[in-house]
Amino acid sequence: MDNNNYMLQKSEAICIFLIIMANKLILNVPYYIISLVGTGAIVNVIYIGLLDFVFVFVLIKLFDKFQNSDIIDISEYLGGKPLKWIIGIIFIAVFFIVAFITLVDFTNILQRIYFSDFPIIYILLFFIAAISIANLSGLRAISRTTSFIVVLTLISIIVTLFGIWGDVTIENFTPILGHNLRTTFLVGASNCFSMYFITYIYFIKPVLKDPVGFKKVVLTSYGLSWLLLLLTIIPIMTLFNIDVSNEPINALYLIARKIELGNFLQRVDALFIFLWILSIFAYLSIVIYFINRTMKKLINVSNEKMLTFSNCSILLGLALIPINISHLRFIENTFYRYMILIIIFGLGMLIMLLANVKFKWKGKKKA
Amino acid sequence: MKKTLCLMLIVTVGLFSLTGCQTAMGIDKFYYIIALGIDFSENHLLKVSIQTTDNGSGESNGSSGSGSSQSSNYKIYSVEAETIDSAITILNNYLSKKVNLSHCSALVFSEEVARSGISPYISALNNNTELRHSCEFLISSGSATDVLDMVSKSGESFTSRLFDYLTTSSDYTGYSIISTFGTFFSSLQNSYRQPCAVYTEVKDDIIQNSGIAVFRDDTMIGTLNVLDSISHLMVTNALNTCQISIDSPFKENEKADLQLRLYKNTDISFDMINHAPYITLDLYPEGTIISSGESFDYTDNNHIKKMEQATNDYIENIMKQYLYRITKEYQSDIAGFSGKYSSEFLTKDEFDNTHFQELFRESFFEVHVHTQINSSNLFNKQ
Amino acid sequence: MIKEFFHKIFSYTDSEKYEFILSNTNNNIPKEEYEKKDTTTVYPTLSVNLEYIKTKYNLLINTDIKTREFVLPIKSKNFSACLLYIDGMVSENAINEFILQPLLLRNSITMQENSNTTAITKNISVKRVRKFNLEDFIYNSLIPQNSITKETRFSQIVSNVNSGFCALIVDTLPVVFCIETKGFKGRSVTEPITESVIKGSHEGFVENIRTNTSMIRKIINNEKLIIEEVSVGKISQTKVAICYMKDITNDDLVAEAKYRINHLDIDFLLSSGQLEQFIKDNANMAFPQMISTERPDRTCHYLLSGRVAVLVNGSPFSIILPAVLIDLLTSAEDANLNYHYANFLRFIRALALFFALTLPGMYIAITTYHHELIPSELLSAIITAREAIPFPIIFEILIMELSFELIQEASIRVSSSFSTTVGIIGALILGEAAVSANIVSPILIIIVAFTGISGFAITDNTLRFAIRMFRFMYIVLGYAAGFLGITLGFYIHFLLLANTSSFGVPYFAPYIPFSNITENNNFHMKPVWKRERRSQFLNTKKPEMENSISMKWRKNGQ
Repeated sequence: MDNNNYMLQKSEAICIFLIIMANKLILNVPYYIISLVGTGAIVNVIYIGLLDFVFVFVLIKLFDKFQNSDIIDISEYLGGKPLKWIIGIIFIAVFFIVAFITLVDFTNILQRIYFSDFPIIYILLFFIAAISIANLSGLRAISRTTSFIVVLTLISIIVTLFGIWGDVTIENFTPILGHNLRTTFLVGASNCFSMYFITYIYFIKPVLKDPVGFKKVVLTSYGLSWLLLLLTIIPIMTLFNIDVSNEPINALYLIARKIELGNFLQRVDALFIFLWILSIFAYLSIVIYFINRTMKKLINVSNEKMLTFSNCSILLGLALIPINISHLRFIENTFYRYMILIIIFGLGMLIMLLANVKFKWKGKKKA
Repeated sequence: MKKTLCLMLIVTVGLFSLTGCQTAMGIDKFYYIIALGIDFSENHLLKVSIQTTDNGSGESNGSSGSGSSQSSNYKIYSVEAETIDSAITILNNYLSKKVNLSHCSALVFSEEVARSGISPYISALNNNTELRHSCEFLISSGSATDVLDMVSKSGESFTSRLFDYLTTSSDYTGYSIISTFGTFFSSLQNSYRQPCAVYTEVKDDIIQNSGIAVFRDDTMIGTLNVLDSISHLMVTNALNTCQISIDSPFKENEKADLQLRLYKNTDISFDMINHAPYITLDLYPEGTIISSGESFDYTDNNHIKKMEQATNDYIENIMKQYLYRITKEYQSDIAGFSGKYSSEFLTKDEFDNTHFQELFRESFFEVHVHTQINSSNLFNKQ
Repeated sequence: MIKEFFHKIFSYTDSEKYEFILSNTNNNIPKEEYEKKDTTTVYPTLSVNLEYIKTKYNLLINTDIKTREFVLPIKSKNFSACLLYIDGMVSENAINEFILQPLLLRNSITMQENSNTTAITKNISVKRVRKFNLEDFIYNSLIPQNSITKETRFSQIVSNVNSGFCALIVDTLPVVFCIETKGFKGRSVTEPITESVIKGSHEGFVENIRTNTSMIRKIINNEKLIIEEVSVGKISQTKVAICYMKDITNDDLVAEAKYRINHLDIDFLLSSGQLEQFIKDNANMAFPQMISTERPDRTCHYLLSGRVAVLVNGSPFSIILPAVLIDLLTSAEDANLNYHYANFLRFIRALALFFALTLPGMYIAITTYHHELIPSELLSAIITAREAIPFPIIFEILIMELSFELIQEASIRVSSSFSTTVGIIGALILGEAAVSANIVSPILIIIVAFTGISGFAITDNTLRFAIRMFRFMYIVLGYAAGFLGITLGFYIHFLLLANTSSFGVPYFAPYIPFSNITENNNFHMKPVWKRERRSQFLNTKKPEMENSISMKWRKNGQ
C-alpha cells in the first residue's frame, strides 16, 4: 500500500476528531460558552449536546447513499464543477480561518507568557516547521502521531479537572439554569458551534479504511468529545466567576497555573503548555492536511503533499497580519461562531439534503 | 530526509542569527524576590518593598549550610512609585537585574493600603504572568516593610517557608484562614462572596496571626479576632481542627480544653421573613477533651451530656458574635451566604429578584450546635 | 546555483518509497494440526524413508541438516544406507572414525562369506546355516559406539537427531540406529559481553555460523526450525543463515526477509551490523529497526514467538526482525524474572530512555525560559552554585556533555588496561576539577551524570547511540525556545518514528495503530501463565502460545 493513499483505521479517525475537539477546548471555547450562558453552562452543554447529536445523526443518514465521497464530491454530483469549486473554496476558507485563529491565539499566549523578548515570527516558525514536516510525512505519520498525542492531551485536561477539584463548590454551578431560560436555551443554542469537529465529518469518509464504520466512528467521537466538553466546563466554571467579565487570555492555562502537585511541584503550567503545544501541532497538521486534500480535489494535482509548502506559507502570512487582540476575540467568539453555524450547520446540511433528493429523484427516474 | 535536515538547519541557523534568541534571559539575569510588601509612603506614594536572597555576597562557596549566619543573607529594598509596576521598573534599574515575581511566596499589604481600596494593586498583580496564585496573601497591621524585615531576621534559612507557616498554622489553630493571592482574587471577583485575608501583627519582634481582615468589595473595613475566625471556618466548612477552652460545667473557675473538628458540613437554610433573610445554621462539631480539670468522667453519660451542652453554648455564643459582626458591624458577606442562597434558585434572574445582597445586613440568625464529645485523650477519668 | 539550492530544498519531489506491509490476512494453521502426533514408523525401503525425512526436515531449504548416502557392503551384498545428522551439532571425527569407517571399510567381518560355522564331523561337513540378521549384525558388530539405540518411530528419531545424534538408515531395515555423536567445534562458547544477565543463560554466539546455528537448534530442538543459508557478497560469498519456525512465522515476513537479503548487489559483507543497514526499511532513520543480540536464548525466544533471525558468518550477533520500539527496551532477563520485577525494570528503562534523551535539554529549557517550574528552594541552590561560573548554561552543558561523550568513546576504544586510567581522568579531572575551577556548576555535573547513567540503563546498544546523538539536538532546541523547541523536537521525532516500520510492522506497534492490545505482548508484561498469545502484529500462523489453562496441575484436584 502506498503511503500517499493511507487510510485511517477507526481508532485513528476517532483520535483525529478528538484532537480537533481538544484544541477547541484548550483555546477559549468553553469560556465563550460560559460567558454567554453563565451558570447555566452545564445544562446548556447537555442541551447543545442533544441538538448536535440530532444534527450528526441526520448527517450520518444523509451520507449513507454516498460511499467514499466527501462534501466536495457530493457537491460535484449535485451541481457539477461550479458548485464543487464554490463549496471547495468556502471550506478551504473555513479551514484557513480556523487554523489562523488557533495559531495566532496560541502563539500570542506563548509570546506573552514565555517569550516576551522574541518577535512573533520566531514562535510562528516553530509551528510552521512542525506542520510542514508533518504534512510532508503524510497522513500515516500524522494520524499515528495524533493518536499518541490525543492521549496526552486528554490526560492534561483530566488532570486540570482533578487539580481544581478541591475548589469545586456548589455555588459556582448554581443557579443551574443560568441567567434565565431564554439565554440558556434560545441564545445558548448558538453554542452548538463548540462541537466544531463536525466540520470534519464532511471530509472524513473517503479517508476511512472501512467506510462501513463511518457511523460508529462519528458517533463514538461525538460522545467522547461531548464528554470532554463537559469535563472542561467544570473547572472553568469553578475558577471563573461568571458575573464579572474579566476575560482571560486562556482559561485553561489560568487553571493550569493554579494546579499544584504538593509543595514541591508548583507552577506545573509549563508542562501543560508543553502538552498543549503538541496538540496544537497535531491539530494544525490535520487542518493543513485537509486543506491540501480539498485543494487536490479542486486542482487535480497528483499528490497533495506538494501543496504543503504553499499552504503553510499562506498560513504563516495570515498569522503575520498584525491583529489586535480584541479583534481576534471578536473573530474567535462572534465571527467564528456564526461562520461555523452558517457554513457547517447550514450550507453543509443543505448540500447534503439536496444531494439526497437528487439521488432519490434519479433513482425514481431510472425505475 | 536530507531535505528535511537541510531545512531544519536553515531554520535553526536563521533563527539563532536573525531573531536574537541567544539573548534569552537565563536564571542568572533575574533577581528572584521572595516577598513583596506594599505600603503608603509619607509622600502618599506607593512604597514597594521586596525581600530577596542576597546571592551577590555569598563568598563562602563550597562549605555552605552552616545556618548560623543565614539571617544576613536576606535583603530588603524599598522604593516609592506611583504603581507597583513602575516600582518594579525602578528596582530593575537599581538592582541592574530583572526582578522576577515567579518565586514570590508572599504578598504583604499594610492595613493602610487595604483600607484605601486594594483593587487597583490586585488587578495589576493578577495581570502579571509571573506571580503565582498560590502565593500567600497577608494584611499587616503595621507597615508591610516591618513584616518583611522581621521575617528576614527570623533565622529561617528559607523565608518562603516561614510565610507558608504563617498561614498554614490555621490548619491546627483555627485562628486564621488560609489566604492565598488566588483565593483572595477570586473572592474579590465573586459577587456571591466578599474577600478576606490573614491579618498579621508585628508585636515585640514576633509576627503573629491575629485573625481575619474583612473586606467589603475591595476595601478593608475591619478585623475579626481569633475566635471569630474559628466561627468563620466552621461556617465555611474549612475548619481543619482547632482548640477551644470553655468553662467547665462541673466546677467553677476551672477550664476545659477541647479539640474540635467538624464531623459533618454545616447546614444552612434560608427563609425570607418580612423582607429579611432568616438564616438557620446547624453546626456539627466533634470534640476531643484535652484537659478538663479533675471532675470529668468520660464513662459517665451525664458528664458527657453536660460537657456537650457547655460546648454547644460556647460555640453558639461565639458564632452569634461572629454573625453579628459580619452582618451588622461590617455588612460583609465573607462567609458566602448569598452564594449558598442562590443555589436554591433555578435561574439567576429569580435570585436577583430577591435582592439578597442588599438585604444581607438585615438578616437574623438561628444557630443550632450539635456537639459530640468523642473521647478524652488518653485517660477516661482524670 | 542558489536558485537550484532553494529549489532542491523547498520543492516537492515524490519520493519513491519502498513499502512493505505485513498482511493482516488470516493464515492460521488449524490447531489440530499441531496437536497431531506423528506416529509414522520407519518404512523398510530407504528411498521412502529418505523422502519422508526430506519433507519432515525441509531438506531442500534447510542447509545444516546433512544426509550422507552410501553403500554398505555386507557379505557380498550391497545395502544402500544413509546417515542423517545436523551439521555443527555432531562431532565429525566421531562420524568419520567410528561410524563411516567401520561401515565402509571392507574388513574381515564384512567380507566373510556367510558367516556360517562349518563343523566337520566324520568327513561330512555340516553347514549350520544360521539365519543371517542384518539388524543384529550392524548393532552387534559394526558400530563401535557405546550409546546406540534402535528406533522405529520417526518422531523419536527426529528428536534424537535434533539433539545431536546421528541416524543410520539402512535399506530393508524397518529400524533406524541412533548413534550418539554430539560434539562441537570452533571457538569455545563464552559469556555474552554486551548483554549480561544475572538469571539466565551465560552462552553467547561465536563467529562460526555453524556453531551458532547448532546453539539455536540445541535450544529449540524441533524439526520445524528452518535454517536457510544464502551467500551474500560477490567476492566474499559470506554465508548468511535465515532462521525461522516453519509453522509459526508468517510466510510473507520470511519471504520479504529472503527477498531483501537475496537482492543485495554488493562485493562483500563482513558483519551483521552491515547487513542490518542493508536490509532496513527506512535507511535514514537513526533508531534501530532490528534487534541485534548475541544471546542464543534471546534469539530462540524471538524465533519461537514468530520472528526471523538472521546470522552472518563471522559475526557473533544475530539480527532479529521485525523489531518494534518496545522490544528495544526489553532485556533478555525479563522473561526469566517474576513479572512484577520485569515490569518494574521495564518502567525504569522507559524512564531512563526519557531522561537520557531530554534531561539536559529540559534543564536548559527550564533554566532559560521556565524558571517558575523549579521549586524556590532548588532555584536558590542553583543560583548559588552558579555564582562564580563565568559561562552561560548552554556553554556549560555543551562542555560537559561533550567531555562525557569523549570519555565514553575513549574508554571503549582504549585497551582494557587503560580504561581505569580513562575512568580516573574522567571522573576526577573533568568532574571534580571542573567544579573546583568554577568552570561548571555542581548541579550540572549531577544532570550530566544522571543522563549518562540513564543512557547506560538502555538495553539496546544501537538505541543508545541514537539517544546520545539526539540528546544534543534536544539541548539546542531547548536553548532555542524552551519547551516549545523540545516539543517541536518530540513532534518531529514522533512523526518520523510513526512513519517508520520494521519489515512491515509499525514501529509503535502494538500501541499505534491501536490494534487489540490485549492480544499482544505489550510493554507491560503479563504474568507468565497469561502470555497466551503471540503478538498480533506479527500475524503468526499459530497465534496461541500456551493453553488458556497453562498450569494444568492447578485444575487436577477438581
